[in-house]
Amino acid sequence: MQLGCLDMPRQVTPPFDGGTLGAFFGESESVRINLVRSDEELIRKLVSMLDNQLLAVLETRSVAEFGETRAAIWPKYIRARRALADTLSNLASESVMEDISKLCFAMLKTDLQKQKGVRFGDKLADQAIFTVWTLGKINTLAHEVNHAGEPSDRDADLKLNSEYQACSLWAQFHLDAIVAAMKFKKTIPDDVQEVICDGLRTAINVHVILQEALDLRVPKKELPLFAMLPWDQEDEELLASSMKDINADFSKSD
Amino acid sequence: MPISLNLINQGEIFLCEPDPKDTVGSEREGDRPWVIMSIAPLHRGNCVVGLPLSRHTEKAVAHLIQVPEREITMDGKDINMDRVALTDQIRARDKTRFRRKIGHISPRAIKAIPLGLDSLFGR
Repeated sequence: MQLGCLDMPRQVTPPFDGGTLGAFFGESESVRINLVRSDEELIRKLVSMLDNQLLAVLETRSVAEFGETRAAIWPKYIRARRALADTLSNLASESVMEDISKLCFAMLKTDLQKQKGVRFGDKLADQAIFTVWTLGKINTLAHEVNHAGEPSDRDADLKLNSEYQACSLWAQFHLDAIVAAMKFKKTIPDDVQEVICDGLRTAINVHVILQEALDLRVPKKELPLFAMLPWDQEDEELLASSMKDINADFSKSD
Repeated sequence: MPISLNLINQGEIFLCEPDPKDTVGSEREGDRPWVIMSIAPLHRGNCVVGLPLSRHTEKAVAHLIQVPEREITMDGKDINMDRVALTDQIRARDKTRFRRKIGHISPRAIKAIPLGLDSLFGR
């Protein structure tokens, strides 16, 4: 399946990576204030840089042009995105960032609902809303992974991490593109919307990858063993009913 | 010929005849590929739970999960292609109505489809 990536949940990074930059702030008040100010300035610059990159892809008018532009800006986008994530994590605590994320997801979902049929087609808006919802699930799962201890297979875990990073960024990029389109009131050609939908779908892959990462950390639970459960006439009738309506649902449609 | 009732596992794809009034036997045009989502230890009676895999990939949006060709393995001559798991069509299936097993989806696809179901069920 095409697994994609989204938000790169912050908590997922530490178990895989060596740490974050800027871990030694705070020797004096003046130093702290200067550093925070420089961080804020850096955030503005990074956001502006990301906006410019995303605007470049939003100016494209065909699938081929979109693909070429995306490929051209991709390395810069990755660097800017990671720098932004690191800087934000220096400025705010984990709990504050989580609260902000939840607020952003809720606002984004509302904004996307409003754009349905206006700036985007229904399909892209629906996929984006589903992606935002998936991000919430990803964050929850990432939290579980990070508190589940050591993986049973380190090599397999590293491979998953690599897939996770790639898929997360891919999905994030396409979600960012939609947000930028709303921010700068850009329209997206229909066929490019399809490509963005594909990119957003990668969030599903991220969720799957995290499930696999959790499986490496938490032993499989034994299934409950049931005695032979009864099967009666009511069950038989319900099952027959479930089979009968299939024609109505699928005739000529598969 | 109907398949053995004991050989149905999660992730397997079966052709299912669309109308129980039809005679079980030769394959017919209306057969649909269904992927089994329930796990074998919890199957009761002849009932399994599955959902149809559509070849209309334009349906893949939100909780209707796309299953790319590379995540599907076909056993025989059946053509492999991208499919869409119609999660909102999940339902009980009578396993005596399955004509034959035609393949299976990957463990990753098995993990992906429940995300669509979660969304459908508001979880």
